[in-house]
Amino acid sequence: MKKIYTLLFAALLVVSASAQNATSYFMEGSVARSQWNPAFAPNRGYVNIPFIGGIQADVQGNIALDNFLTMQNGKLTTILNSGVPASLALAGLDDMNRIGAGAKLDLIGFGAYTKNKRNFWSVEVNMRVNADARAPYQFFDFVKNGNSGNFANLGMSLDSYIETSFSYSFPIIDKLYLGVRGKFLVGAARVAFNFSDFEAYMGADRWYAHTAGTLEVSGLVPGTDVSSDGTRIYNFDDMGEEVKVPAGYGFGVDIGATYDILPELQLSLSVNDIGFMAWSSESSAVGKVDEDVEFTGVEIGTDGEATQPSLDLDELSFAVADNSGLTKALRASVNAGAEYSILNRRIGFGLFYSAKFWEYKTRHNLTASVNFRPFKWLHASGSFSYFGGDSTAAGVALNICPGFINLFVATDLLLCEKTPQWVPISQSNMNITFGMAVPLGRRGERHLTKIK
Amino acid sequence: MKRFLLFVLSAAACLQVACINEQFDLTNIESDGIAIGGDESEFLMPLVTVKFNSGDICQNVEHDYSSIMELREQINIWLPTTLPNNANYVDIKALSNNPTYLQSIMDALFAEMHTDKAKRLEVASHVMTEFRAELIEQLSNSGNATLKTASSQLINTSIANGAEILAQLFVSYPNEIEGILQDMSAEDLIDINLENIDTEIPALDISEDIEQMLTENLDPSSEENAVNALYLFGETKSGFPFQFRIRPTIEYTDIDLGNILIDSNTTTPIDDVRIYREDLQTLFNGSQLVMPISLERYYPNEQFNDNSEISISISLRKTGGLNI
Repeated sequence: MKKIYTLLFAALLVVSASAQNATSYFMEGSVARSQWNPAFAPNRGYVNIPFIGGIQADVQGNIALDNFLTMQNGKLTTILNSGVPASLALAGLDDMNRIGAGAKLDLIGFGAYTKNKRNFWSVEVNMRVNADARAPYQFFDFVKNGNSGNFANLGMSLDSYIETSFSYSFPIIDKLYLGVRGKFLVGAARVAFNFSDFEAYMGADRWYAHTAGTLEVSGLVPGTDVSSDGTRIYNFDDMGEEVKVPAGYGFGVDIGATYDILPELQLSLSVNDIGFMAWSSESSAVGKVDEDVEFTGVEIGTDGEATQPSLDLDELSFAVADNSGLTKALRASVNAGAEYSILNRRIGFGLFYSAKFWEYKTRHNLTASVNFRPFKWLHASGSFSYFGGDSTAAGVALNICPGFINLFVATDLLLCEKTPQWVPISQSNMNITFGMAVPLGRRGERHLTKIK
Repeated sequence: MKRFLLFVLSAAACLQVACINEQFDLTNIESDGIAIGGDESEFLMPLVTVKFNSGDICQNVEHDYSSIMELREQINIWLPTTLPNNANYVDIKALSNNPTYLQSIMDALFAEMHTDKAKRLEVASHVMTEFRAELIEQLSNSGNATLKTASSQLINTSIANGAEILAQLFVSYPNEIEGILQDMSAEDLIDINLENIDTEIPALDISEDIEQMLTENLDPSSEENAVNALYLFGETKSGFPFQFRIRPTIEYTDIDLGNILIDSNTTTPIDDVRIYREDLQTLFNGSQLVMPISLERYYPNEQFNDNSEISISISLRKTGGLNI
């Protein structure tokens, strides 16, 4: 159990630096904008500064960090700590508690306009990490109060891969641009477990537990043990000490389009991350469990014969199962936007919708933004986002692109309290994007109305 | 313009930094101390149930380990149909240490024997079966010529015939025969002692992580108001027409469940007894239940058979959380 949520927190740390920020959707000058829709292109060609050229991360869920962490005797601890009162620990939890995180780190990136100043191509190498976790309220109630219950759908998944992409955006007609990005993926690691059933009962008459679930690990090598009944089971004590990379390969496609209905009204639509990752059998491990343990105490009859019940939690471990490799769909997303500009596009009003198909739930985001472009080299946006019933957030973005640098920052963490790692403490949804590139090459001439 | 930009960026940076809470440093999370439940929690766990039938409960070596059923039969012979004061039970201890009580029983028995021939013959048959030699000796040593003659008649006769002779003597010479019968009844009714019941408790196949969950956070024995503590408790049930007193202990531990009075056809609770890590480990690894047992009362109007049994169920109570 400790290993599993240590992994989850490690993922949170990794993703704390960045997430795809909805406020950036209408930032014309930003290099990062094309990540939403491959039909978008920056104002000019560019070369990203390695590792800080594009950093994105987002966290979405229905619980915030301070629903899971709290100060206890001057130390930061989890709500699962025995010193944290149950009433405090359970107060901020929902029936099903979900958190999802995604991160992208741009390792190499560059792009340029072609001679016609309309077509734009780019090449990127990114590192991506995705993590999802969910836990029902009954699980926390069991841990904090010791109340027996069923905590089905307790699960977590985490995967990371390197993505090498080539993107090309081109006009069909003056008003309609298409963009396609093809991505070759190299898998680094994946860990996922899910309990379709998990029941625990501790009573005066018996102690009973039933678990049914699956485990998938790729890239990392879990150890194995033999349980008391001779079954080979996984043991995670040394997981991470040996790695098998690349753990798999995959392919993905982003497809997008923009259409200027009017010179001042642009619509955009894209579908991203259509594809798969095939985790190889050599680097993967699959475990399954569907076991009961029950202990009713030993009964010694009048004939002196005694029953032999056992209570061994190892029987609930994931048993080594046949493995023919794992093929998983990428976490696709659909993005749609509309922006109406006035004053020669110096001010724009945008509405953006995004649906991300995460492991356990589709996450919806509706963002309204006001975009300011007072100069060619200075763009600023303010936005308000609504996250599918979970929470809301206000964000700002700033893109400064004079001739020698292209600097972009977008965040919805401006005023909220955060950890030193920039993870919001009381906000359950977070986005932050940072990018720095060196503009190179010719400027594009896509817009019918130019900002002067 | 550059200064303006610098100002804007600096202001943004200051705002961001100003909202950072250093206490929530994710690299410094205390992940130990996780437990299931908390200080107010209580967990119960079944441990062992032991059952004893009539064959397991027997008298000591002085009475040739005769079973509780045989004991009941021999007591019944010496009891009147209606006990003094219409009591529904016989105080077994008082039979040994209260001569007045014993005498009241015998007086009621003799009164019944004078009017009920069947009872007379029942007692006489028992005496002929168990105490023939002693009877013959006492009759021959009496000063009464008829009794001396009767003693020689009893030497080689059958039990049934001898019982008839004794029953007739009881009617004719009540003072002498009552005295002899009273002496013989003492052998059956006084100093009734039962053999200890010892039972091996096999090792409980409980994994080490469960054991650690139960014992890792226990308060020391010096802590009187312990929050995290282990207790044994349970209940006993008896299907025998007796009231027993037991005092179960677990060998090689300090576990003493105390004096427990088990009444007939009732469930009697076993109160909490605090135990410690070493005690639980001994229980888990296999141990011996040592149970001295004594009779307190006998309920002659209640029945039992070979299927009657005493059961003792011992469970574990853990207060406080279970460390994981």
